[in-house]
Amino acid sequence: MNTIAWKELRSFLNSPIAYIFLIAFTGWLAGSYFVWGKVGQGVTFFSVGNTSLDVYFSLVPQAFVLLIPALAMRLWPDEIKSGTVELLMTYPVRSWEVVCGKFLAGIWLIALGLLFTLPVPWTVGAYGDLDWGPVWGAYIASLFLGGAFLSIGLFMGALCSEQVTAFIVTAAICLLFVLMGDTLINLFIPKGLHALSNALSFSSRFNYLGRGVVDVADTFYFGSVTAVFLMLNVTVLETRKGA
Amino acid sequence: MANARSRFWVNITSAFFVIAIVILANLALGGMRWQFDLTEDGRYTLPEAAKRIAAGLDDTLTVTAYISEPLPSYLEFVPRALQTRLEEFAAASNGNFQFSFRSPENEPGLAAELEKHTPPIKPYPLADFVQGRQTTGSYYLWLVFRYGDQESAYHLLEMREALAREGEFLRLLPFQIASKLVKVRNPEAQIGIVSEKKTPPPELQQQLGRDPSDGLAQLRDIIGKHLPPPRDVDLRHGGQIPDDIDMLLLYKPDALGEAETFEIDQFLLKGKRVVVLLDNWSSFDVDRVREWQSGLQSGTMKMRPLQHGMSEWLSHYGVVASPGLIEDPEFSASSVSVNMEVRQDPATQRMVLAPVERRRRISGLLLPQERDKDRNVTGQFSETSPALAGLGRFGMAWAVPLQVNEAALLAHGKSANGAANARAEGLVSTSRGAFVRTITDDNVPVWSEQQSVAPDKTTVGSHPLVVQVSGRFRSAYVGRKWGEDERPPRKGPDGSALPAMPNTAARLDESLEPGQLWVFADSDFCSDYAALTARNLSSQDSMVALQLAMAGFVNVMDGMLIGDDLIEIRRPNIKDRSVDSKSVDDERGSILWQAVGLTPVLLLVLALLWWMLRTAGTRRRTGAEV
Repeated sequence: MNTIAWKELRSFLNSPIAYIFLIAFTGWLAGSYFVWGKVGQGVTFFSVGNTSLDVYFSLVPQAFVLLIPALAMRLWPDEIKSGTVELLMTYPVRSWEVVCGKFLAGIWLIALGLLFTLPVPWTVGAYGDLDWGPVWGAYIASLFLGGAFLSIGLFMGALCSEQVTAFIVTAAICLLFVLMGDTLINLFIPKGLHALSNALSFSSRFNYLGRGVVDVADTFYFGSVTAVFLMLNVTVLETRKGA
Repeated sequence: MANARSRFWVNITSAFFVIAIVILANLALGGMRWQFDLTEDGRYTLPEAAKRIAAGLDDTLTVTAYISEPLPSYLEFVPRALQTRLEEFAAASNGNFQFSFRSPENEPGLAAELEKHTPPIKPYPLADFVQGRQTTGSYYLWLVFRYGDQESAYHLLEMREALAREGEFLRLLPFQIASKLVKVRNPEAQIGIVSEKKTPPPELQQQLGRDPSDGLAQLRDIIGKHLPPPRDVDLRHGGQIPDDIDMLLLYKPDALGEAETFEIDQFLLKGKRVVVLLDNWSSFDVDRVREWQSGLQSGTMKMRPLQHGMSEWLSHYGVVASPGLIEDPEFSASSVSVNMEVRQDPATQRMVLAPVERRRRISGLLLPQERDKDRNVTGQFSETSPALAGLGRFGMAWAVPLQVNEAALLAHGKSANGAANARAEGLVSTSRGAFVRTITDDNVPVWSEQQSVAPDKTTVGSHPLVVQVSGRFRSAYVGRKWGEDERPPRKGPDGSALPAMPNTAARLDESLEPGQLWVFADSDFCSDYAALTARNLSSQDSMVALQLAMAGFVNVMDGMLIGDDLIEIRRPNIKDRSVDSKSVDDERGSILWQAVGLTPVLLLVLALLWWMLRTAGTRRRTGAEV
């Protein structure tokens, strides 16, 4: 599994996509927070006037909805298109090891991206009394959210042979998970569905963790969504292998 | 083929089986609250002080939550968040804290029953959207606390915008609940306020109302939430302080005579608490709103001088109050936009009256922040004083020059064996560059374009702005005889001397119990009109500093009346952790470079290094193969 993960990571780093991902991710977050302001709010660090990084980390789901599907879309469709997936299946590795290897490579890259955002809290901390608790909470939340998005992307990639299709479908599903439970969205759906929408929501759990409160139920939810989509991915591979 | 098909169905079945287990596990875990609060001050955990208050219940306290079902979409989190907090209180209370949820929508007849409650518990109209269409419904959001024969109702809408934000709701709820517990358990803690009410000028009556006001509505509202509503005490013309008053607040005392100060002295010697909000000049009053506005334009303001009449009495307790006002070049640097003009709002394209960005220094404004030995702002005033711990700033305006003279206090504040049993301490101070400006013609400078300069170098130094005096004292009136009952004569409405007020209570020469006296060098920080002016000026610094000063002041009163537990619960908001705005402005370029520019450059360098390593590796391998 580690061999596959390392191979995938190396292939990421050998291609410009990893650098584009990292620069786009960190640039989007820092640019939005320090230069042009959060979309629709125009709030920047200079106008907020305090050390709360709520606004900064609230940009993470937005960035992930676009960037993680872009990252995930090359993990399976490339292999399917070039036919290397059949070759991979002939190796003495189990399907779940291949899936987890690819997932690990993606999550390392996401973790690397998050690591490169550390200059922002350091900078803010240098100009005021920063509470690092919510910052670590937001990093934990981002990693869990990234993992869940990545697993959805991997599953969709295994289903679709076209990168663009995989990207669009993954982004749409991730967006749905982010929007569910949002107060604004709840205003437009029947009251009877609110409980279900709130229960499935990624954003309310992300915000809760981002406040610096690690709730076992929230982390378990993210973990179980990730595990379910990885398992579905294994099922698709097994089915493909059988066919 | 058949083998592949059966494997497919095995895979699909096992996937559904696992998904079902995961859903069940999530449902089971959803009802449990295993949480780890990573915040530095445990902001989202029930504070230890709240647990102590709950554990201190010696009889059953019941909380009934009258919450509508369903609530508007944006308040759907409320029942779950409320239940979490109430469960935490119940767990800490040794079984004496019990709660239940009731929904008037699901219980016929309950709404009519609640209507008869005193005060009536009514639903409140709130807007909602149902499937995209705006609707208005009536919703119950009440908590009713019952403890013995005491009862107190709390409307969750009092939390205002915090009610619609889950994080803020969770953070503030422990204080709201704990303060109600304190209120029903301490029905006797009563604050009396001595103040003068003035009628708003006719041209402002439409905006400010017609009733006479002392500008303390916000303060009364804050106190009334966890203590009985403060009562007005009239000391004029020989009025006395009622026996059930535990703490006396003297707001902007003016022309107090000996009879009044004697009454306050006797009150203090009974072991009670006195808070004096002193002023030499009346600036923010309801009848002076116009003066303030014209003062902003002209640069000086005709102030109404106040003769508080307390100097002699205060000096006996080690607090020296001098005439004039304090200016602090370091801490008055918060500039505000003072000119207003009609201009086009870029957002709405409408013409609006808005402040012009012409920034000036308000010379009498004091926004002290405590600094450490390296002159860095510490972010809080005092780690040792619970009332002031956690407050990053304080806001005062045209403060009275105070000095602490502990020797004068210790001259009488000693026990029989000579040990000191009284102390006086300055808790909030100006910088060392502050000085006293003496005003001779009532024209007080409002703003200046230039740095203030001390007219008299002897007054330059750190001046205390809040002084705490506590312990056992001897009366300031020991040995003074005025007549048969040894009480000072009163003054009539026209200032003429009247005979001493007949009083059967024994005159006290020494403290019966340790008492507390707090003197604040300003009264404006808790004035509704000061807050209104800061808002009109769009002065963020001033608004925050005034709010924090008010919070400190309420903490002081709570600490004296009901102990420190409530103060400890009142955690500062994360938004109160302000950045050093001056450094941020000065170093904007370097901030942008560090936070925005550094990472992409670093990534490009890393990409280049990786590419070079890879190329070198490929060459080496190719060379070896050749």
